[in-house]
Amino acid sequence: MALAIIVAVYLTIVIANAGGYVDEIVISELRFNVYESLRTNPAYKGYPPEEIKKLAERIIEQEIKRMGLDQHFIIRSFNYLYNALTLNLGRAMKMFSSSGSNRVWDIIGERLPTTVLLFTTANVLIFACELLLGLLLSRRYGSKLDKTIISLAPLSSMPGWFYGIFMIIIFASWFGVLPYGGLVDAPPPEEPLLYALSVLKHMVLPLLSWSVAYIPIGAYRMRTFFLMFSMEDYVEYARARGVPPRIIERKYVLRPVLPPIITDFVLVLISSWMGAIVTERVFNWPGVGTLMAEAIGINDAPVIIGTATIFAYLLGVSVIVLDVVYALVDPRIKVGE
Amino acid sequence: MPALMEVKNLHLYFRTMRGIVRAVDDVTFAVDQGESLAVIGESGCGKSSLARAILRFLPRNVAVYKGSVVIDGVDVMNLSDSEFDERVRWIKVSYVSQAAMNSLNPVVRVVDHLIEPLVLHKGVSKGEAIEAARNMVGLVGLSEEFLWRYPFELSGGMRQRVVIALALITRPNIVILDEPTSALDVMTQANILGLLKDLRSKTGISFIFITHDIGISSEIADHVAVMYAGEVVELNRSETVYVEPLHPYAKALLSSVPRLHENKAPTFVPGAPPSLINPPPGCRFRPRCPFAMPVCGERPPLIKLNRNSYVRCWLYAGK
Repeated sequence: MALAIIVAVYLTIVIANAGGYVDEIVISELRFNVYESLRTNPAYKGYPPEEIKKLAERIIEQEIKRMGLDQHFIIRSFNYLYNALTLNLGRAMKMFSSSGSNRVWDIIGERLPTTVLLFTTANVLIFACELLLGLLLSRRYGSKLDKTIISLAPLSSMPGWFYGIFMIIIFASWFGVLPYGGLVDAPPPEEPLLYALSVLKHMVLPLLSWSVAYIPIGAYRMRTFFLMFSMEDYVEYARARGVPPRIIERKYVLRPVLPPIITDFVLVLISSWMGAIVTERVFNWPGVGTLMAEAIGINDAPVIIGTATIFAYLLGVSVIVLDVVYALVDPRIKVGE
Repeated sequence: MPALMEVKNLHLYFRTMRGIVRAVDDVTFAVDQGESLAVIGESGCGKSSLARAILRFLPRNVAVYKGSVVIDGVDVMNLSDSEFDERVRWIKVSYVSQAAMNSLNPVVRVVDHLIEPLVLHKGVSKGEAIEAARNMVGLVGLSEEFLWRYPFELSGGMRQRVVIALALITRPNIVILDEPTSALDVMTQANILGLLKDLRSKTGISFIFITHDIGISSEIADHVAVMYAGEVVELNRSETVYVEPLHPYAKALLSSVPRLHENKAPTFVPGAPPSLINPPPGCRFRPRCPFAMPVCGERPPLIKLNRNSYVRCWLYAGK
């Protein structure tokens, strides 16, 4: 487990730095900036070009040392790894949080709540709908409702943001009842309640588009899953004994399949915190996904690495927690031995 | 004395893509108090469907379900589903399913299985139910500590005993056992059979014992019903059926059983059992029968021999 986290973080480091080539980009940008600032600085006007060049090279060398770019990439990559694993995420190269801090923790910490608000809500909502709808359909498989939902399942061949675009056209452009995007009205309402309502209003379209894309296939999957498990011999025998359907569902179908369902739910929950790059872009939602997109766009490796590290840790920890939970809900799984 | 259970002209047909399956076709028999009836026949001849029909445990594709099942003087076929659940299921008749190995929920303790029917069907309090469960595991030869185990911690034979306890816990009059020993090894089979005989003498319960294993059926049966293609072709006292079967199919079936004390090679029944979708007209055994006659093209009459014994064959029509 720990190994998996280390490997994942290291891979992200190598990839985010493009195997060291990002350094060269950074250095050339640095040279350009230093020369430009010297050229445009009136204090140095009239200096002979050789002097300016010397001065510039000195500043560049200092900067390279400051950023640690004078060491070979392999060595630095392990330094990065150590820092990342000790959660010493450092400072962003270019990005700032809206409060002006360039610490990676601040930048991510600022975006995380908005992502959690939208995507965790979305995923929990979708998951609950899938589960309940799946149960309902498995109870009445072959019914009209069942057939309708199944025929809607191919909607998921398109991602959520795809429907988001249509939702924006319909509800924002044509009817004008819901906002195009963003987190809150501009200017934001002063009153906390109105502020919350405004945020809620902005959440409707993303939630709706994700529901359209992911609920039918999820309900279909759950339904099939439950149908398979309701054909187990012990379920059949419980029916023969005249156990009422509600108890059958709870005690004979849901209980034995709890571990995979819990896993599903926890992993969905964790991955929801990473946001969704494209959906956040479509709805102009200031979350972790947008942050990642921006960081990738301007090669801000510390931000990319920081985000990946936090999620690697979150996943690792939740898998350990899951193992413990399994042992609690399923007597077939025992801790130790 | 009227019989404990009287099944008359019971039909159970299923609807499938390829046509109507006549799984149970006009079946008649009776079971007395404390008596065991063995239902024997090849796989797919409708034995399990017969169990399901008596217990009203039906799949969704039932096409025809009619006949009469009189238990203790009440025709339970006339009861509504909820009345049946309330007054018959697990109260009068209980059932041991075919897949005993997997009949228990792996994540529910043995004790919770056992008290469930009592709480559900008889409205017994939990404490009393646990007390009854204690007695019952003792009766089926398990120690009390097994109550607190999970089914996956038990061996096949122990699970089978738990399932039998589960069928007996509400003290029904009749237990239908569908292949209760087919998944078990020979020693465990013998144990379970011994247990069943023991239970019968202790509690006076009746068994309907469904099996394709003729050797095992002879251990326990008072009466034997031989099923072929959805019909009972012969019903008689077991000493008669095993020694001198009447129906040609029963003869062929019994001569296919190897015997210990006779120097006779077992024979086999030529041909294959007919599809239950389009059974042959007239006698269903005619295509495989060595005694087939022209008259066999018509449905053979049910020839009553005694109380609760008959044969369905033209050979005996004249007598």
